Amino acid sequence: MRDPKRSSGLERLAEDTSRRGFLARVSGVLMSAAGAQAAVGVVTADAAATYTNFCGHTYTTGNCPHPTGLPRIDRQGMPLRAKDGHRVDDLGRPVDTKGRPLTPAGRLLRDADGEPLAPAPRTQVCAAVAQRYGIRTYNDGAWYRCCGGQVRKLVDCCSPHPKRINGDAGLGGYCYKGRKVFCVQYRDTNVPC
Amino acid sequence: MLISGVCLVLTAALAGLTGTWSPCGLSSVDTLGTSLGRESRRGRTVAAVLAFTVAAVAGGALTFGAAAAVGGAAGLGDVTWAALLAAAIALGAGIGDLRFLPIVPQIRRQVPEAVRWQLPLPVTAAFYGGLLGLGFTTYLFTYAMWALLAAALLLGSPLLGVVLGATFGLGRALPVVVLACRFTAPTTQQFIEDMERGPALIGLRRIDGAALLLCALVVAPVAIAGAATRTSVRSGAADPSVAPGLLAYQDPAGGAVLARAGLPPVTLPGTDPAVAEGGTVAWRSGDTVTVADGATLTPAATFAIPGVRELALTPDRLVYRRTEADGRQVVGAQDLSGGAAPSVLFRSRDAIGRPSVAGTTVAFAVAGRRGSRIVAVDLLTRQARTVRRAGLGTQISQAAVHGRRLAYVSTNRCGQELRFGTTARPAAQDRALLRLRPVGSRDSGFQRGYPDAYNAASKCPHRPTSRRAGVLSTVALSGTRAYVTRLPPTGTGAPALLQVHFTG
Repeated sequence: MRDPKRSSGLERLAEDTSRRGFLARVSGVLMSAAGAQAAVGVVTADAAATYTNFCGHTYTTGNCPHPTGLPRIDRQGMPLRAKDGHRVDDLGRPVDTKGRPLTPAGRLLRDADGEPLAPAPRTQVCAAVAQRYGIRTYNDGAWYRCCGGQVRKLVDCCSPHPKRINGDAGLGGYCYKGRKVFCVQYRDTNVPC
Repeated sequence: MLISGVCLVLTAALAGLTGTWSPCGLSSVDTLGTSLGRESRRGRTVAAVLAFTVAAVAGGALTFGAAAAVGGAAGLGDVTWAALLAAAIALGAGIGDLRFLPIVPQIRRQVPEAVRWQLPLPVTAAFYGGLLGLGFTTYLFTYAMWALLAAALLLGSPLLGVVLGATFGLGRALPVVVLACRFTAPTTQQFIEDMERGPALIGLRRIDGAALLLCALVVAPVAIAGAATRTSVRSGAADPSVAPGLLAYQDPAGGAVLARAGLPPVTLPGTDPAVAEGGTVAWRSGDTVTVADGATLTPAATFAIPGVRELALTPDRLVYRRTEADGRQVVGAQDLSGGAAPSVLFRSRDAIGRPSVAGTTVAFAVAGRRGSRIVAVDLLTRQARTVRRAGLGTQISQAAVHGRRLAYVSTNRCGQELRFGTTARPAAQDRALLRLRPVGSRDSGFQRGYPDAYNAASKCPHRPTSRRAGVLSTVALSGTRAYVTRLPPTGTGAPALLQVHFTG
């Protein structure tokens, strides 16, 4: 799956004429033959226009509340700043490994006496959702898509609660054991695509 | 706020009372009255009366409580213009009632008559009571209902809304119940007949109108005064300490400064100044704390306190925060007479904010990776109690006390606030004196080039309107002003001291 921003005219031309485009067409034919057209429909470039809020997110479930906005997380589900992947605390401050807040330049943020400012909690985004809404949540299944030249993992924050963060009925998504997607988050891998 | 709340609640009772003489109120009196007159079983009678009253109170609480909840969720409770608008609506409605103007908008609906024949009396009573209590479902005979509903919405206090609505419902229910219970008495029939003639109703509306005018006059000044009104900034200053006629602060470039009313500021020979009532001042040089007379700066006492950092002062005690060798932080107290050994009031591995002292109460914030809170310790008993605890995703980092008043810095992903309340009341009644943008930079919540949809729940509902950036830090509090240090957001540059004037 491609980032729609990369689906420029040149790229579409390349897809039509290059070996990569040829392979993509062959792949599509084979998958169709295997009865997997529905799956192809999900991962073709045309579907990119259906992404909402951020690359890779299909359907209508809202983002999980996140200290800095876009719901980017790390491997443990902790919040990261979307623009650069820096770890942030629950207040949205960039922090070091000890949770101490940092300046934009990466130095310790200090008070007028020169002492480091007090650290704040850093909570898993999905766990914070559980506390905020008084429900049980789980980081269940995931799906991977290619976004901005690297593989992105779309991670559902799932709950047994029948409703989702939007306020209406939740969807199954990639959740296990009958749980529904309460809100969505993502993790950017270092795998190029 | 209490006075305006009481005024509104009393007006709600009057508005309910006036509503008795609507088609629905009179129909309810007749329905209950004639049925009760025929009813032989006392239990059923009591059930009908109770059902009517409870339903009316619940209906009122639901309508007004819901409006107040919406206003509160929209953040109207802290907005001066909203309170002023509520006062203006009350003023207009009051004039309308005084002049007996036709009610606009009027609800041209009545309680359904058929229910009277189809359902058991207690159920009918509950149904009618609920509809009357809701307020907006049947005829209105006073503008007060609309004005009070607007006040509930615009003042944004769910507690006030529920009390307003319950009182309105009670006001509508009690006359019906009283008249229905004595329905067959000749005096009751005569009273109803007199009311139905009209002039008494005009009188009731005029009372409603006068009450609304009074509320408008009370709410408007409270709204204006209650808002954090004026903020001034002193650049290059931090860590304030305040006492009558004295303001001490840290000038990062030149040490501690003592500003005295009517006198030029003086630089103190140390750092981390603190002042107390009576004109005492303290400062720190390394691990030595000097306490001196604020007028002459003549030292009265010196104390060697290893690891001492920040100070607070009363006329007879020095309170300080110090760091122990193992990194733990301690809040301690020292009798200024020197007669008693220093006492440890609180010890923690988390970061302790600058202590503040008022009377025998020492307050300070304790913040760490597991959460944060404000602790108040009694100097005499050394009993510590938590007076504020930060909720999910929120940090409380600094606190100051003045009498029972409390000011503190509260920060979450959506912004920073200097909040103000009292230790005697719950945190829900605290209000914001100052708001700043979030400490961390927030993105738009959606990726550029992609549609922004279905995403309201993850965004910040009330973004601070202030364009000021920075990090709110140490606080001081006097009877009419709160002082808070604003650190530069980048960590470089001079801090500033913000001074917020308030009343209430």
